[in-house]
Amino acid sequence: MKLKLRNATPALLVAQLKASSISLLVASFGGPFLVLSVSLFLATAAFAAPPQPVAEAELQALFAKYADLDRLSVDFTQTKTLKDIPTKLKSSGHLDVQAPDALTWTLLKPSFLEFELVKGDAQITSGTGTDRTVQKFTKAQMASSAQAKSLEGLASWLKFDAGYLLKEYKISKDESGALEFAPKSPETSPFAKIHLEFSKTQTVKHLTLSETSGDVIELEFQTPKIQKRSPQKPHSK
Amino acid sequence: MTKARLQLLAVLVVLALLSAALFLRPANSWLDQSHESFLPKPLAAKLSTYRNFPIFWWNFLILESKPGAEINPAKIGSLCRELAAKNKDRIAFLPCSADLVQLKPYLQDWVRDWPLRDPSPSKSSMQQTVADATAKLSLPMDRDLLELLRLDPAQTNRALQALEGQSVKFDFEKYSGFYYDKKSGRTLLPIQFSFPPNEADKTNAVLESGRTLDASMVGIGPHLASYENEHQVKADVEAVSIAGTVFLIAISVFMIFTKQWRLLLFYPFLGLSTLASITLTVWWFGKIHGLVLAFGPGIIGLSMDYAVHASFSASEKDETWLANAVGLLTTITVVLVGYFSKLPIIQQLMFFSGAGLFIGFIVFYLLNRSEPALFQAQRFFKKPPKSKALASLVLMTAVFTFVGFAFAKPSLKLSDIGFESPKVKAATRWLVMEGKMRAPFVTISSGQDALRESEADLTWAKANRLDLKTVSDLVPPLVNQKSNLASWQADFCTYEASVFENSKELFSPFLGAIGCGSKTVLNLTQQPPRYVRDFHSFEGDEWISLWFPKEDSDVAKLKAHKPEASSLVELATLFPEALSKEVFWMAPAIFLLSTLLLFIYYKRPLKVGLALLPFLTGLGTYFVAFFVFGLTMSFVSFISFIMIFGFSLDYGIFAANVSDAESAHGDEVRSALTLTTSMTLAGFVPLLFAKHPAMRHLGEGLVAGTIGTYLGAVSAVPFLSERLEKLRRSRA
Repeated sequence: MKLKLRNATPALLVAQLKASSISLLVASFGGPFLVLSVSLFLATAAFAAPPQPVAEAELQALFAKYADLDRLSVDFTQTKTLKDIPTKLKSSGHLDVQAPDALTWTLLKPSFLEFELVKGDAQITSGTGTDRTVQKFTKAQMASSAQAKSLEGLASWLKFDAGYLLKEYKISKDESGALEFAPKSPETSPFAKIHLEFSKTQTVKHLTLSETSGDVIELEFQTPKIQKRSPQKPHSK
Repeated sequence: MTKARLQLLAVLVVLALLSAALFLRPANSWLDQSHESFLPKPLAAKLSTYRNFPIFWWNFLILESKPGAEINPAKIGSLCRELAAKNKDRIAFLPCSADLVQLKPYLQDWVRDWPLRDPSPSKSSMQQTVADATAKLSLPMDRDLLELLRLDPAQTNRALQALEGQSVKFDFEKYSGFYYDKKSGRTLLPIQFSFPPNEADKTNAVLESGRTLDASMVGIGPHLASYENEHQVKADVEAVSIAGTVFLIAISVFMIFTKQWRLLLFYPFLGLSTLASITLTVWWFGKIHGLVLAFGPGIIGLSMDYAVHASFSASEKDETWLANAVGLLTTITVVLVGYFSKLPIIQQLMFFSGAGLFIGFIVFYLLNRSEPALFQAQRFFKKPPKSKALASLVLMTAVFTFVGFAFAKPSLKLSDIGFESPKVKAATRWLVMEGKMRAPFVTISSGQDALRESEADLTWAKANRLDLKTVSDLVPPLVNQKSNLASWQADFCTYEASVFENSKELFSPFLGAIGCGSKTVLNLTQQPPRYVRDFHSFEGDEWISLWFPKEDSDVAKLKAHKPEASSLVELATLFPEALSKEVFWMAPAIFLLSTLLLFIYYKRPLKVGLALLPFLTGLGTYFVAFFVFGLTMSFVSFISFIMIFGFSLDYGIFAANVSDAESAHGDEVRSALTLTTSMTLAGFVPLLFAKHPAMRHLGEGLVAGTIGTYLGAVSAVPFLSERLEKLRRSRA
């Protein structure tokens, strides 16, 4: 019998453990999953127009619009349809990306919600004024979450890494030129499918995210403002 | 049929019925493996808190990697999820698994009781809450997360997090649901099991499945320590049983070849006596402890020694059984004195051993009268041993007993008889030193007053700047509950329809939990909410509070305010104190009473001294081994001393009875002692190879004690007797 430890351990564990579990809950509400969601969003919506059936060169060509990107900003409207619940959730907001590794995803309606990712560390701000709450997550904290993709993946999206996208997704193109991304490992992906439509100017116009839960998110993007990096100047950040 | 045979038959029938009664109930209903039996009842009740309160069902799993190595959080998360999936029914919480479903029942109650904790939010505030939650819900998220947000749109769980977070004091890097110490390369995964610590099979299943995912996994905590001890005891018992069987077979073969096979027929009678004694003990105490079952048969086995003694002295039947009876009486004296112990385990051991020994004595006595043909054995010794060197050496060990008493320091801590593998030992040291763990103090309140007491404690703790985890952290006073509830009825329930007009379906889990019009104040006694489950005993209406004093002055302050507050570590130290007190009065009492009995029997101080000599040589031999091999003298060692005392007096009486020069039966008695000692050692020697300290300590005490006792009886007693006789004659 090892009483000293046995008795000491649970006592200290209690608070610590419960706190861990609760922080997990809180983190999950706003944290890692949000990172994943936004990253996927970004990559597919703002930057990405993956080219024809899955040749790396072709994909890179489609991304050429965003090559040497220094800053991108775009407004969007969104409709989320929940499976089995007769409610459509409508929202609108703004996306801002600064190369090489910073982005801000802001929801303005129905309420203010801002997600910032800088060099792998995330911050989520919700509410305004006295109701404002801020949560911070380190790169490591997010990586250990069940619902967050690895930051390596996120970084790849942000860099328009065609090789990475081809490794993670089966990409196909229909007659209208729309792209469809099907995850190669559906069991670890939160999305069953991602559908991408381009505008006439070959920027992302419409994005449909089909979640594995059966919920569907449809995003409509306005014309993006794209600021290219000057040849002499490295990334501003 | 002779009268003796009828008597034997009647006794055997009764014993068979008693033995059969034991099997009417499953073993787990009468076999006690708890630690409470080690302590006097009031203390044991306190100690049982760790088992009854789920707050003590938390443990740590530890993963080892290279010191200084970088952690891979995604890999840890994946391991946790797999472990949780494999053990859904056994794990209540594994925070690192990020399984939100496990939190839902707790959150359900937490949200339901929001109207009892806080006044109603204003309409505008609730409108903002709904808008914020809808914004979050519009993002991609899995269904579990979505459902939790539908249930708790206001994220009231943050208040719970803030409360709980106050007590999180680990000096390690914190990740999502686990900790990492880069310096040692250890990852700390908190885990709460869904069952009490004594269910070692379930703990084993969790640990084994964990080790298939990461072979370095070890565990610390109540469940894992129980499991590790039980696992090691089982492994040792298995090894000891095999070794013991081999030894016994060897002795049996020897007995067959030396035409003493009849003695083998005594074993079934000994077994029957032991089984009957188990039944009687279970009837008397309600249960029998595993350790009593392990140690008691050693004393009951003495009854077979009486039979062996009678077999070698067949021609002196009456004298032999008279000596046996005196031996029995002295041993029963030990047992009787021990029965008045305040430690339940000693009480049980004494009752069990005494009953078994007495039954065994009766059985063998009747068997001897009924079937004298069975009681025949050939002596080994043809003449007394004449080695002066050996006898002098043995006599010196008797003197060494007093040296031992003066200088050997016993270690009576309970932790000394607990098993810890080297890996666990290292991890434990690391957690205590690096994690800066401190054992909390515990107070318990019960029934209707629990909440009021908890509130008063919380107020006092805040005033005195002491950390306290108690149910009042989470449940407000009744008066506040009532006023908060009234506020919700007046505000929320009137604006609910308009605020949720377009989102009634979306937030139906929340609205259902709040339940306007159907809410009452909490009745902790009848239906404690799940979020306070950890503080509530699953066996009765008791509530636990944990105090975390930082300094010694805090402890003093707490003790002055709450004298009943005790740290569980502190409780553990009460065991050695209780045992020391017992030994202080018990040892002299046993010794004096036995000496008195011997004096009544012999009426000659010299003979009394000779009969006591084997005990002194036995204990002296133990002390020699203690100093030479650096042994640990634990609580279990003391049990072995009691057992040594029991049989050493028997050996002493047998040896003293034939110590006179004119006795013609010395060789028979020495042969009987040689055989019984061999049989005894066959059972005890394998214990020396056990890894569990409790078993090893028992083996060390018994083996050294048995050898010393035997040498004292066959060598020192006749030698000393002869010398003293010569001295007497020369003086005469």
